[in-house]
Amino acid sequence: MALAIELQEVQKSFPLESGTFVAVQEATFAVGEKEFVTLVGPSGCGKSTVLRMVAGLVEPTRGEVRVLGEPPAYCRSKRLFGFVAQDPVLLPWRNILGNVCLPLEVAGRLDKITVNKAKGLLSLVGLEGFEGARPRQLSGGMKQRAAIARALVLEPSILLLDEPFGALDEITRQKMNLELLRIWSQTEAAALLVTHSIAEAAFLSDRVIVMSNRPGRIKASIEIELPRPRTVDMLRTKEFFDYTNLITDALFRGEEGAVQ
Amino acid sequence: MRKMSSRTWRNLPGWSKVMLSFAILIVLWQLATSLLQIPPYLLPSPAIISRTLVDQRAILLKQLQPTLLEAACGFLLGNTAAALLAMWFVKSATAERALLPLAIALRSIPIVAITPVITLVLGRGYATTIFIVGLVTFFPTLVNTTKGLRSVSKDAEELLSVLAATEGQAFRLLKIPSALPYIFSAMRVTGPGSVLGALVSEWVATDRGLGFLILDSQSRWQISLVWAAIIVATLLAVTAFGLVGLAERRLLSWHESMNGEG
Repeated sequence: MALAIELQEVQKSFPLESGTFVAVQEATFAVGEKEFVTLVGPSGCGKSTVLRMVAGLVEPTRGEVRVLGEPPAYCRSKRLFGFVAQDPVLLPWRNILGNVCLPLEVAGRLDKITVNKAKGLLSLVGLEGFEGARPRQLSGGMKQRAAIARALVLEPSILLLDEPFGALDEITRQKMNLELLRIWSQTEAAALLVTHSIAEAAFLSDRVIVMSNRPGRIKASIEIELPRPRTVDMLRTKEFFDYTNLITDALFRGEEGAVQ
Repeated sequence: MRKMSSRTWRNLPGWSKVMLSFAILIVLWQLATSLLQIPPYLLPSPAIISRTLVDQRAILLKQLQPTLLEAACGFLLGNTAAALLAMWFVKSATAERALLPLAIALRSIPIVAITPVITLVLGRGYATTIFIVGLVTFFPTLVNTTKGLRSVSKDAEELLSVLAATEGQAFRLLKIPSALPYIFSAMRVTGPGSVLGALVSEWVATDRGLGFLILDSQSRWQISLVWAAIIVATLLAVTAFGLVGLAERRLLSWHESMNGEG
């Protein structure tokens, strides 16, 4: 299987007045084609930095990042990334359809066919009938749905998700996770998600990469062999529970207060 | 009874309250001038002033034209120059560090002091007055536009860089629309301000316009004409303010400040 994302001993450090701050240390992992991989770890463990290095927004200090065998900057220029952050950043002066069409406009591909595709995506994310609504008229969950539709409108090969539902309440978040899986299964994209929710990581992913804090380092890579499509019922199975335990163990291994 | 009348007062449309307070002011003014027998050369009564407004309408309209032209051209020029410079500031921190202190220094010089100097260079024609009006509108727009262009969130900028948007696209699709509320709040000041700038520069440098008319009729002791010119100038400034508000409501209907429901 070809690799969607590949990181080879990637390190990222930032110069500080008091010396160098190592945000990410020797991160090596890969994401396969159409694989869903989640980076899980405590706040400030550099998982968002990893995501930004994959997108080519941040240059690694050492090591190499490859996306579909190419440098990230090249893939960015080819607009192969779909990006959803915690803040949906919908432009308030555009209606929902206008926001979803923004990537088309940037790419110079705005025409009747693509606008119809954008409308189709809006119904895929459950926002049918909201094309003309303004972002401020939508709830937090609906805004995030619009952001997902916008991320998919250019048919990206790589979907990058930076705690996309982090600002939502627990119930909405659970619903959105199910929706995300449903939507993602209808695309050809590989997904790299960043979260600090263990249950979310286990539920969504094919593989969970556990990161530790200061310096950000990969502690474990756990295959989640739950069948797809994933359902809410799986949240109550022993297998799911075992996986969350595995992730928790990996997260706290070697930390103070952990059972050895 | 009291409750009833306060409710009626609240239900009146906003403009009618403004009209009412103006009417009260004019009545009091009229009463004061007639009861206290204030001589017309000190404070003419509203009746005398309105007669002057009608009788002298030809000269008032004639002098309104240059003022209107100067205010409008200066406003456009000052705002355009400020917006372009603000865009440069946002692109280049070096440009901002080098030029912003200069702009602040320019701002600190009183118009009355700088107008004669500019007249020496640009002459007593429209160039001087338009330049002065431009100067008055320039600084508030420069500061607010710079701030507005920078008000864009990091997340929004990131979104556009993931999409490989060009710098021009980032300005057009994101930064300029984000800056519009800031630009409008500057224009609510510089709109009426451009009328004031035109009046002052006419006063100091030229022999035309409402500013000159105020000065000229004062020297001839035509005090009612002074007041008539002041009223026309005030109406012009209020109109400028109103036009900015109108444009703002049309262009920024999406903005929170325009939407009660939030």
